[in-house]
Amino acid sequence: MTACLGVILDHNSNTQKFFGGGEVNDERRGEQNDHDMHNDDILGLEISPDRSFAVTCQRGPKPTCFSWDAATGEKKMRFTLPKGSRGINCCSISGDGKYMACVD
Amino acid sequence: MFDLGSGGQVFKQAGDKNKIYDCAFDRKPGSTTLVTAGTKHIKFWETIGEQKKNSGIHGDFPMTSHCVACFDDEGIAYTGGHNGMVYKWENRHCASTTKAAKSGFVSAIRAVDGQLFAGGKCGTVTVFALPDMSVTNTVSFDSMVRAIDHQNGNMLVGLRNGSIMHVSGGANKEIMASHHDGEVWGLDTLKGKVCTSGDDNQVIVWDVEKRVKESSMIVSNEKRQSKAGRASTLSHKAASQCSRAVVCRDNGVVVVAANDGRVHVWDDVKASAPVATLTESDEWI
Repeated sequence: MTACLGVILDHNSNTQKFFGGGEVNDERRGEQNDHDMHNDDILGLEISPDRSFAVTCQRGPKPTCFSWDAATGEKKMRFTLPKGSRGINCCSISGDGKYMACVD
Repeated sequence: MFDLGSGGQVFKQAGDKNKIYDCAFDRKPGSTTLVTAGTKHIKFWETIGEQKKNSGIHGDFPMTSHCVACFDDEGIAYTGGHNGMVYKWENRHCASTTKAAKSGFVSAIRAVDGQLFAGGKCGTVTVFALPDMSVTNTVSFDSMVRAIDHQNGNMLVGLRNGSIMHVSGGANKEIMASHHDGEVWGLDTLKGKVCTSGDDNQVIVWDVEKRVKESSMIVSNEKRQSKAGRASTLSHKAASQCSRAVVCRDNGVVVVAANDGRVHVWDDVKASAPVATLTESDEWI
């Protein structure tokens, strides 16, 4: 993870895929909304026990978490904490891969 | 706590009045026990059904702040303390402590494949065999350990200096490198390569075709603030160590302007020290 971007590195071919990134949707403010990707620094990452997907969490007053495919970077689910929350600095996935916990 | 399938929130409760640094689920399939670790506390949560929380009991072992936490496959929790110790927890009671970090706090922990991996601020990863906690290996790096993973004899270690190390068969290989503190400000080309400098006290030359870091050098070992002030930055480095611009010439000369107004000239990117430093500027760059 780096800034707002999840990075999938194939270290054999030394190539990368990404979760997030792209053009901003508010050119005046230079901002991206958080519907499909992180729009602030990612503070925590956890990969599922079967390594099929990852969960990342971000900082900010209305932080979001995303689960995304660990092979393709495709978004699976978005989770939000209410406005006024603090940044989410860690997350964890249950052993059966059904639940995700995060702490703000 | 959220359901990963539906996205719905299934559990929410106030944690502790102190800051929480890490959380971890019990890895046993079907278990929803959660541990949270933070300043001067550790708590165990039953998140589904009874929904209760209990504080960890240190007993005769010293109280500390717990920086990181994990569970092993047997349902035993481990936390890394600010005092450099790994705490082993059985049914929320501390069962033992073991020294893991030579100095500073334990900054990363992971229990997998019958082993416990604990990384410290000192840059050392200590490998313990479970459940007896005997030390089987130690691996040292040149920066604080931020994350550890292990699978099939391969260990990945993420470091504070922006690099990811692959450890296999006793060999360390850097598989990813980056600037890591503040912003990247300087960009130029050098003999077909790309040269960048940033607020992390580094100048890095990248081989774009191979997509690898070719070499790096330090902007300045001196920690000096400019009397004229400095530019806004997210970096934790002193102004003399924050680079604001880099210019490269075809003859190999690299010129770096630091935020404290000084300009350093190297005759080669692999040189150990600059050949000249210009100090005339009274303004920050």
